[in-house]
Amino acid sequence: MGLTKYNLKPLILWILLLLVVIWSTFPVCYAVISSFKMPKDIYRYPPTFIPRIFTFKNFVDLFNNWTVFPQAMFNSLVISLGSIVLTVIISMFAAFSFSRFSSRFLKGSAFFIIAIRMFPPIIISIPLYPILSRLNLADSHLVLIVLYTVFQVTVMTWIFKVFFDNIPKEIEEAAVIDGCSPFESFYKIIIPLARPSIVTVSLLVGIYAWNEYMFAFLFVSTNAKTTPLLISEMMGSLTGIAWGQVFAANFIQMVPVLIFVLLVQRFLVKGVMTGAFKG
Amino acid sequence: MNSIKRKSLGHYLVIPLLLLLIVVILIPEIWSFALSLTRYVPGGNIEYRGLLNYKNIFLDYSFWNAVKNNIIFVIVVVSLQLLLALGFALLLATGFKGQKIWVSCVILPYALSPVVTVTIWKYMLNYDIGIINFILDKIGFEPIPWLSNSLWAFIAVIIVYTWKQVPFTFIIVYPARLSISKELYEAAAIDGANEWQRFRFITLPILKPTILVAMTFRLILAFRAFAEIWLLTGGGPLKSTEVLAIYMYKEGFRYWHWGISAAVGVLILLLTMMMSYPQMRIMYRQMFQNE
Amino acid sequence: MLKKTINFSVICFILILVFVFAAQLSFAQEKINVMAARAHKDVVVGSGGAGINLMPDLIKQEGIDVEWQTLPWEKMQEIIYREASLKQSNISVMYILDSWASPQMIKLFSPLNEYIEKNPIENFDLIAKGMRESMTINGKIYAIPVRANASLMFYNEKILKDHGFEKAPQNFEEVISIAKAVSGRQEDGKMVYGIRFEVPTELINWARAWGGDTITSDFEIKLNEKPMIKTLQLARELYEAGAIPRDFMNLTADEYLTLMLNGQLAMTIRSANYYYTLTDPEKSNVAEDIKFIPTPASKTVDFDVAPVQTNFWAMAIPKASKDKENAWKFIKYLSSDKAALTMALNGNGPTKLTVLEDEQYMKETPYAVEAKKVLNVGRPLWPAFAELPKVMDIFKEEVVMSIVGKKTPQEAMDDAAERIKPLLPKN
Repeated sequence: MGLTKYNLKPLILWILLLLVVIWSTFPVCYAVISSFKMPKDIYRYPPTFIPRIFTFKNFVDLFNNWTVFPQAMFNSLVISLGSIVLTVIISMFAAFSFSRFSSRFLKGSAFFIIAIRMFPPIIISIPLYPILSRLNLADSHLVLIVLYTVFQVTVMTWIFKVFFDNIPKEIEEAAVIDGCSPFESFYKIIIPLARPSIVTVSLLVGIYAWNEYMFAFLFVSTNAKTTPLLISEMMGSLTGIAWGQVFAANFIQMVPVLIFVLLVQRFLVKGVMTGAFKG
Repeated sequence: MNSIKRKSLGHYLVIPLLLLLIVVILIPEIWSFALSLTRYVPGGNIEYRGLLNYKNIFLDYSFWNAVKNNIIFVIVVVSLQLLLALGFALLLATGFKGQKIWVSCVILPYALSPVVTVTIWKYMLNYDIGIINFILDKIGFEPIPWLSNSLWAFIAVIIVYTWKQVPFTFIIVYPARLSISKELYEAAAIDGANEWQRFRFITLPILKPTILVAMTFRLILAFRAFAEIWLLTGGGPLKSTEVLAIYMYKEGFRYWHWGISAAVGVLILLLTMMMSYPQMRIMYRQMFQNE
Repeated sequence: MLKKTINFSVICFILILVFVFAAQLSFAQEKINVMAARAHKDVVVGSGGAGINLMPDLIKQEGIDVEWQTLPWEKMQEIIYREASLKQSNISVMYILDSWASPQMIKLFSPLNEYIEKNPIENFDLIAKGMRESMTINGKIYAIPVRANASLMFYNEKILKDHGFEKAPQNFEEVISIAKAVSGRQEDGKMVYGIRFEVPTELINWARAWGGDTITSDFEIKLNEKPMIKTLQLARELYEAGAIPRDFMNLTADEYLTLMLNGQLAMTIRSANYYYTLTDPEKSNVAEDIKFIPTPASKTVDFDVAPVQTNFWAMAIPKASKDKENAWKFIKYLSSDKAALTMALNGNGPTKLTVLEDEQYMKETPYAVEAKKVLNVGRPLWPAFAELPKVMDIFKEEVVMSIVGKKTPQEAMDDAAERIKPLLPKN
């Protein structure tokens, strides 16, 4: 009797696992497959999972009808990379300070950056709008790069700081004894050692910026239009059969990120482990 | 001499961060306080109005509707997230072949844009051709009017948001669960504890701080939810899914009542600050653990 | 290896900065950006109808190229207003709907009188006078009408015949009874609905069939009077009978179009310009079955054709535009006789009288005669005023509540009237 119970358990666990995996991945798989269906089939009832005809038509139509799509992808890329670079630089510097020094000023700053992170992003949209307009910064790549950086920087500073805390001070002190200036010790020693956390931070910020919708929706219209914004505009296309193209656009926007995340998921999980908590 | 130089360096390194936050968040927010006391339509003049905007907001039943929706949404969504994330974490911690693949699968929704998420779910939840109603029909249930009925739209929004956010919570809880050493469980098993007891007396107490931290983070983020809800229902049939962020957007960018919108923003800020106090304390202590 | 990575990253970083700079410069200069709905672009590039593409000619003749920024219909007003209120914008031309042209909004656009003097539009006086005048304040004209939407009732002949209706509906009461009779799940599993029911648009159209309205152009409130109440009662009946989708309050114009193209919608009141889309075998599953009539009025009134929604779109230059000269070239080109005719052949509803008198157009456009009839009778859904967005939202809320049964129609409309009153302009 005890033996049968023992044999059932793995089976139950695998079934549960299957359910969890279906829950997490089914919608994505469905969308991926639908992008290869004929547009009319997407609207068929009863719905089919596997396309009766496998076609690239949606992708072709997408590029024919939405000529701004490549530009949107380019914008997203530029903005994501810009956000990553800006965030990494600013938060790494700050984290170094928080890790290696202490003073009332630094304590106050820490409190400030934590408190200010509690500000919901949307509430600055109203005041920022006329300010950006007056500075002629509306609808520029810079706007999104700065905004994305601002809302990621507190957490990233924290992740870096925890990581730096784990690098013993002795290493720098040895370097200083050997004649390095504090700046050099930072540049030559800390940064190379911090590589894993740089990767983690880059991933987190990059994914956020690549996928972000709200700020793109509010502050950008044409010049710096990102892919998520374009796709949301595609959902209301007047010919009505554009759903196939929407799925094709979804595919192109999400698949690179998905594959990337699958490959580097250990950085995400590990990186968070070193930070212990994440928001 | 060296240590003073080092200290200034420390201060300099923090200044870019501070500048960024002050210029982009603090100053606009102060301007927003000012705006909330005026009547301002873009292209027009700014008139001072005192607290009249706030009074009008408190008299507006749509505002209280948004508050109610927001609170219910937050409570349900965060509870669900914690339950599911904990469940997934415990399940995966038992160890499977090809572990890395399964973990990647669970994390998958995290890598999607809210736009993509909503597109997919809108398609699946479609009353006529959606696959979910199709399956329900096959099992013998009535198809559900997901996005056209007040109650079901709210449920739909909860499902979609939870689906997308569980990976975040999972990423926090799972490593914490992994860090509990096997020996503890083995020792307990030898002492005669069964599965449930091991969970109650080992897993739960050790994970409690992590869960609490995850909960406070998730609460604050759920409170500001905008993108997923806006894209899925736009505030929902009859404002049933209209949360505060959407209410603020509409007042500002659809009706062009910028003074009122700014005032709503101030109210959202106050509510958020009240809710964030525990999280702020935790993060602050974490950052200065070594002091 | 490490050093190489760092060097590589630094080089990438610099390249990115260069790219960003270049992107800013290049995308800003070359083309003019035109913000419009998809249908506006379609008639210029010839996606339907006669299929003539005007772009090459435009580029050749005026030396400008165009990047179309097409927006979803429902979000257009917000986005356009937002963009037009900026101090500087990358958009050179915007298509605006007549109902949006409140005195407050129109001020965000540049008066065009100077451009007309220096670089006149061919046969400017032959652009529909009424439309021009509604875009003119104090002698200054702010937008040039380019697209008229006269609405016809399109119906799927096959669906009607399958249920025993040999003739098109003769009055609106028949419309309702046909809608009830034909809707339901067919044997092949498909859901068919009787009639398009987008709120709040269709409520207003139906009320007009009974001589009713929401607000008159003098801002009198009429929505709590008999015709609208009757409409709501009928709508409720149809909803209970399943003749309109349960999703109705969420479905966009676009989604109803898809239903029609799929053979799942029996009747729809729609801009005549959709004729080509509905009868194009590549886009429509039911291309041969679509026929049209002017929307019939109720038996109980003394006019035959319901004065349903007739709107027009006009092209305007936002004050914030950085490239007004080229913007005007675009507007001038599309307002020329030839371009207006070509767009009409591509499926556009013309605003220029020269088109309506053109033989080729009348010959090739099956709906030209009907559309002309309706153009005289119809009027916009709403008058233009500042608080229109909020009023529309309030009306929609109350309408939906009365249809799903949360309030009676009279209650809902009385509440709506009360909430709307303070938002109307004081005279």
